[in-house]
Amino acid sequence: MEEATLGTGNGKVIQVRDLVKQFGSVTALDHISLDIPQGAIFGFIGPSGCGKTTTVRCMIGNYRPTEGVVKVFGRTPDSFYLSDKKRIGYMPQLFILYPELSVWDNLNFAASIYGYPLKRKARLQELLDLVELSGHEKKLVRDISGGMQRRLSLATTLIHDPELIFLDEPTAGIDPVLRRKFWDYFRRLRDEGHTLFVTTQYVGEAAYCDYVGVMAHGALLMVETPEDLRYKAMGGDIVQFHASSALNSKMITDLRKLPFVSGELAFLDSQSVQLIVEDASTAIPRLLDWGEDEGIEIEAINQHVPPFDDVFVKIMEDEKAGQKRVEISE
Amino acid sequence: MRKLVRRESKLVNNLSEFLIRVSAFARKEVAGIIRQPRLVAILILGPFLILLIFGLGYTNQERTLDTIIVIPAGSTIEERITGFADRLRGVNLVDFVTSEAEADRRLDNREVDLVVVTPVDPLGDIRAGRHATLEFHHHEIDPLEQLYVSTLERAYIEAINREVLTVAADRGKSQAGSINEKVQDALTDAKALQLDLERGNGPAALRDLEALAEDMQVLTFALSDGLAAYEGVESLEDETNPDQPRSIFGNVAEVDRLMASLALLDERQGSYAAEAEQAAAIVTELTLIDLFLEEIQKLDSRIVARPFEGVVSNLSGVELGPIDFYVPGVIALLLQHIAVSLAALAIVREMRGGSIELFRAAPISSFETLLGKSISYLVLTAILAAILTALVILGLTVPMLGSWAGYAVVILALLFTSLSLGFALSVVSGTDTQAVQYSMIVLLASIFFSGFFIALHRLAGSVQLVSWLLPATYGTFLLQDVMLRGLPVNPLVLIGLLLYGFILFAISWWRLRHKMASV
Repeated sequence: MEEATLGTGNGKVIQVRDLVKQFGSVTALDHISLDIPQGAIFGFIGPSGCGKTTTVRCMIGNYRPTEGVVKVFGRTPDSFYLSDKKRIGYMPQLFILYPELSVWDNLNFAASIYGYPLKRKARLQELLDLVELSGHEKKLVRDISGGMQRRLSLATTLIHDPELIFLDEPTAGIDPVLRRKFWDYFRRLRDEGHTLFVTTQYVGEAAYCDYVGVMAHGALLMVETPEDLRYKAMGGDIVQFHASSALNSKMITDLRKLPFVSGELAFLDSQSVQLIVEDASTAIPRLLDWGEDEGIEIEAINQHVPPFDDVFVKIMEDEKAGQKRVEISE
Repeated sequence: MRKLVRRESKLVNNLSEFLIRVSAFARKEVAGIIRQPRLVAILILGPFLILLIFGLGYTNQERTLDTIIVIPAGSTIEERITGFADRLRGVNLVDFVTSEAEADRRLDNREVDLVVVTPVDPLGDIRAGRHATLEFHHHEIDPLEQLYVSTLERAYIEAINREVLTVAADRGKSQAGSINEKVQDALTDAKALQLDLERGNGPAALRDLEALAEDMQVLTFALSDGLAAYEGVESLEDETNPDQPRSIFGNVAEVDRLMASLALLDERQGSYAAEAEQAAAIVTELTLIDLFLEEIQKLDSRIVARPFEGVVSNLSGVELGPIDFYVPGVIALLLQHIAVSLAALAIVREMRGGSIELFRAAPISSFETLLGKSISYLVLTAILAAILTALVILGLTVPMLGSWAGYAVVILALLFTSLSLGFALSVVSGTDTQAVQYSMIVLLASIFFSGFFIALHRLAGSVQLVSWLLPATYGTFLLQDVMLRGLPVNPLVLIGLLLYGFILFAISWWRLRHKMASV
């Protein structure tokens, strides 16, 4: 498998080559390769247990690769200096703060272990505002809800304003409104030049990312921009039209033979059909011409943008069917 | 120059961040514990209540054994035994019976603690050259209680023997009067011998010598019979010391020697100047015997029977109660247990809770983590120790004879080493339960091996190695010195304790570093 190389013109913050991580006889990561540029949101999507967290742990230095190379800021994580670690923020998947301490104490503790200066009240308050925990400072963490704990966990990750932020399922257990706020904040951080590596099981969140990596069974199936991910997963753009009358078999055969149509047709009903084309913008006028030539009145035609859930299901089904993995290069 | 300033600034910045990271744990642990008032109450009041209950409940009273004395029918000493037994300490006389079987049955039924079987004819036994034996029957299984019964038996027998010796001394005193008459007879004959020798009357002197020999025979027999009890006292004198006054039996022996010399006297000899001097010497020896007998008559028979007694002087200058003695050990044991328990849970909880995952990714080192936790727990346990000490000193009025500074140094060293031991246990524990079990094993070992209950010298040398692996052993030793003896802190023991603490800290650091490294 070729490496997935992304770029925006900036330097690569993370470089991974043929990363293999084994736990005994179990291979958790199978030859992962990718580069992540500075100032981007990289979404890491995959089903539970596919190796997302293991990849993150290899990148932050908690796990040592069995094979391959991981470089963050140009240095392998097991040789990080303290100054390197200060540039990284990590929000683990599970809540691992201290339930017997207050919200404020937990945030304060996180600031201290990153050596954040003692004049930090304003910074702490700013983060509490961000995660909407203002007014809950004195509450013990054991007494707040799971969602609030998640928000607090995010605040502790951002306390030292890290350049590179690893967020392992940050939006799990958070209501959709706040989830949206989180993503707005992530994008703001990205715009400020931070790099974010975000794992998620919410496939729809891929749309918020600059790049998306899809993992299954320890392998990286695809790394793309969200739009390209959708395109390549589905095999092209999807166009759907509705005819005024039912399509007959000749029409269907002719439709299949059109040069800009690729893949199988999908019939929504006897008058409606979805087809995959190389480029929807050029295919739609040509389809209208074809209808006119065939004497078919096309009442409605448009490009269908499938939700990422469908895209993800398609990728998983292809993976299960043993199709060749999608290999991406710039 | 600018480079140097930049380097200094970086150094200050690094140091500042180091202190902030270390202090993170101090604030966290203190805040965590303060937010648990019940835990604080248990940590402070628990140990004090244990001490208080111990102080109120431990009486250290001598055990009194309910005793039946068996005096077989026809005993020749019944009257003396019954009159004597109730004066013994540690024995509560429940009954006198004649049947040994009945007494043993009551002992089997736990009605009494001790049965003493007296001999039927002790005088007959002694005259036959045997010991008159008293049997002590008991049912104790505790070695210490068995030792107590044995001690009681020795005290009982010693008291009886002393009683017998006192009687013998009394008899000697009464006989001393009649012996004195025999000494006077001998003295008269000796003076006559001296006079005849000075006059040169050989035949008369020989007759005097013969009469004197008869007197001495009678006197020697009387002395042997009547003053046997005093012979032991006399035998204590150092016979090799020329300045030491001769004993009465020595005087008699000297008289015998002089008389043997005079027995070779030639009655046809003209002058007896040398022999007269020997006769004068005999007179002197007999005079000494006479004086000694007068002294004996004035002596107290109880002193003769028990010529020596011991007087114990405690140079510490303070009277300590049993609670006072145990308090330093209890303080050391409790503080060790609290510190070990807190520290044993410290790392394993971070591991189990997943915080170590955060620490691995954060710019905090294993050393900073361990140092931060050590400082926070040291502060917490030192506050606990201060409160516990105040309660003990004021509440139980335990003396503090040494310096408070020395006491503080010992407590801090004890806490540091105990915390290090706890951390060492924590880094090898897989779960909270395992950590608690380890700390309980340390507590159990400390009860047996720290010198708290069993003095260290009672343990075999190899087992004492275990003792010195326990911080409480050092703590008990040093606190007893400071609190109860008023001594300065023993520097060697203190250095040993601190060195042990640093070794444990280093081991904990090494293990934690390994755990915080990539896996």
